[in-house]
Amino acid sequence: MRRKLVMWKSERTEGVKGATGDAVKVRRGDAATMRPRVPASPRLPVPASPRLPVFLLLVALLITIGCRRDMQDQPKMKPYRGTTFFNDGLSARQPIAGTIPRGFLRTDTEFYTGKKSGSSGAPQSTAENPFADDVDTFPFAVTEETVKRGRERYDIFCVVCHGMTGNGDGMIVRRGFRRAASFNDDRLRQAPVGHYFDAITNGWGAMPSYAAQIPVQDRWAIIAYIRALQLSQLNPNAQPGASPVPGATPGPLASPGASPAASPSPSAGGHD
Amino acid sequence: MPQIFHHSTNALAKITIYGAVFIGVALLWVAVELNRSSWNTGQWVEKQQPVQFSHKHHVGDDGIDCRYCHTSVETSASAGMPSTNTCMSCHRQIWADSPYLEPVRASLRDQKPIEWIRVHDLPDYAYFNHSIHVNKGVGCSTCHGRVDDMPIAFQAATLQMEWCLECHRKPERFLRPNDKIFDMTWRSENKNAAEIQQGIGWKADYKVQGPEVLTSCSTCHR
Ligand code: HEC
Ligand code: HEC
Ligand code: HEC
Ligand code: HEC
Ligand code: HEC
Ligand code: HEC
Repeated sequence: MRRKLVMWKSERTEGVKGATGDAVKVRRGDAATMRPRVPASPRLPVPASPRLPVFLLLVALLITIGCRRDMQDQPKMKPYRGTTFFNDGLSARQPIAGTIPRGFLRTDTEFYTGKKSGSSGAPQSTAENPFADDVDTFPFAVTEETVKRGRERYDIFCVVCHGMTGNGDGMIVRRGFRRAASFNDDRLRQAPVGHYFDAITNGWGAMPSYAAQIPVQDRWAIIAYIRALQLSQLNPNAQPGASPVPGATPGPLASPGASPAASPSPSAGGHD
Repeated sequence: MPQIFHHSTNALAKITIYGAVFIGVALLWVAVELNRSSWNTGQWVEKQQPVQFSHKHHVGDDGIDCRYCHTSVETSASAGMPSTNTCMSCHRQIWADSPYLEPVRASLRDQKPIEWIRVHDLPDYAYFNHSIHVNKGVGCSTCHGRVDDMPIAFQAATLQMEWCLECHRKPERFLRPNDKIFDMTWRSENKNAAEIQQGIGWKADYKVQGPEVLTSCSTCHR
């Protein structure tokens, strides 16, 4: 028993020496010189008996059981996780007032506000033309894709109040919300697209603003779909030959090969 | 000295030794079942929220789309939670005096967000991303169950690693058409051969990566 123990000890020291010696060599050599330095002789150091290290490792592992919760709930910021670091308790920080994140510079006024650009000559709204300062053409070429996207977004955000056909009788209206405007009455058919953009972005009367939920590009897509909806709801027998949507200029809406040339990059369509 | 145990107890001893194996297996089975049980995973557990918000009312009865409230589910890792303003877009007018909505109104008054209690909570060492799943044909109801039928939200899956892997090994069993992702009534699993055949088609359409990528540890532990 005793003898064995001593042998084990001496074996171990030898092994450790050999091991550290090798390790130092390997670390010093670079990739090219490493190979020749590995001793070619069969007298490689005998590995030490693993019993003690393994035992210690197991004990160490036992201790780590207590660490499980730390890996589960790490002290890092994840979406919607609060923090005690900032006074307001929010881990998601807002940009400092007056700064503009890269890629969020909004020079294209017509695209981002739906208002006619040019501060000096901008027409003012009057009683007979309440929408004078709203743009009346889409600030980019409308394609079939745009209308499809618009339909999807309309079904998410507008249908609940304005209804599938745009008559203003959606489910929430039936549950007691103020009756939403019908897109199929003459006033709104004549209204320029900029007015729709204004209503979505800033709200209109009883209707809340949807700027936080709908990115700019999607707002225009919704409007393109509303124009298509208005066309589909027009009774062709009632107004034969009448130009259906004056000023709307849906442009290449129906023509398949339309080029989306002027459409802005998607990254520009951030939230308001 | 007389024998303490009768000769016949030998048999008893032998039986006990064999029995120990079965007891061991039974204990193991109990442990595995406990690990998968809702007691450990939180499955089926309804959490009390600060507001008695009901998906059954809003989605099932009123037909509001998931994305009206969970706006970022298609574009980012987190599905996104509705802001107080989103609730108030309707509740400024309807049920405006309901006592159930007092915490929402208080939140707007004090400019303090409502603190919802998390229902699904993966450990922080696992990475999950909604957008890739939603864009590659995995519907909400496959993972979250019939949310439109839940008066109180609960976790419909175990969310354990084996659950993720079950799908990542054979995604064709769970895929669906692109326009049915938010459709709660679409089947949550492709069961018979014909449906799985369809699933294989969608898998090709969405260019879903192979199991070597989807089951690689660093996909989810990064
Ligand atoms: C919560 C219900 C609700 C939702 C959702 C909603 N609206 Fe409205 N909307 C209304 C109501 C109510 C009115 C009438 C406002 C008034 O007259 O006070 C209205 C009016 C309008 C008007 C007419 C403004 C005018 O000149 O009379 C437009 C345009 C409009 N909404 C567009 C939209 C679009 C686009 C969407 C989808 C992004 C949308 N709305 C979503 C409730 C809603
Ligand atoms: C009217 C807004 C609204 C709509 C629409 C909505 N949700 Fe929710 N959802 C919430 C709110 C608020 C919570 C947090 C309260 C709770 O957990 O019940 C929530 C929580 C959840 C949770 C649990 C989140 C967690 O804490 O882990 C899931 C899953 C979920 N929603 C899925 C859906 C799905 C799927 C749909 C579409 C079928 C949907 N929601 C539609 C507002 C909404
Ligand atoms: C699109 C409109 C809409 C939005 C957005 C909305 N709700 Fe509702 N909510 C309703 C309607 C409609 C009802 C009535 C439900 C019914 O009976 O079908 C309702 C009912 C409720 C009730 C029950 C009120 C009572 O007195 O019984 C609560 C609580 C509630 N909503 C909370 C919320 C919260 C919290 C949010 C924000 C996450 C929210 N709602 C967003 C339309 C909405
Ligand atoms: C592949 C399975 C899967 C699909 C599909 C899925 N979810 Fe989730 N969802 C999860 C998991 C897992 C979590 C928990 C995430 C975490 O804890 O980080 C979660 C969390 C959530 C949350 C809580 C907030 C968050 O992001 O952590 C909401 C809300 C939610 N899901 C809504 C939805 C909606 C809406 C859809 C359908 C568009 C959907 N989910 C589709 C698996 C899924
Ligand atoms: C019902 C099927 C299903 C379930 C359940 C599921 N996934 Fe996925 N997952 C997919 C599909 C399909 C993809 C898309 C693969 C691709 O990129 O082509 C995916 C992709 C991913 C990716 C991105 C892979 C990459 O690098 O592109 C991650 C991360 C991921 N899943 C994590 C999880 C986690 C974590 C869970 C469990 C909480 C989970 N998934 C549950 C079907 C599923
Ligand atoms: C599809 C995603 C996914 C992949 C791929 C994956 N994991 Fe996981 N893993 C998870 C999730 C999710 C959890 C959290 C499970 C839970 O909460 O019980 C987890 C938990 C774990 C845990 C902790 C188990 C526990 O109960 O505490 C270990 C260890 C682990 N994974 C190792 C691995 C290894 C090794 C691999 C590669 C062979 C791997 N994982 C691949 C999603 C994944």
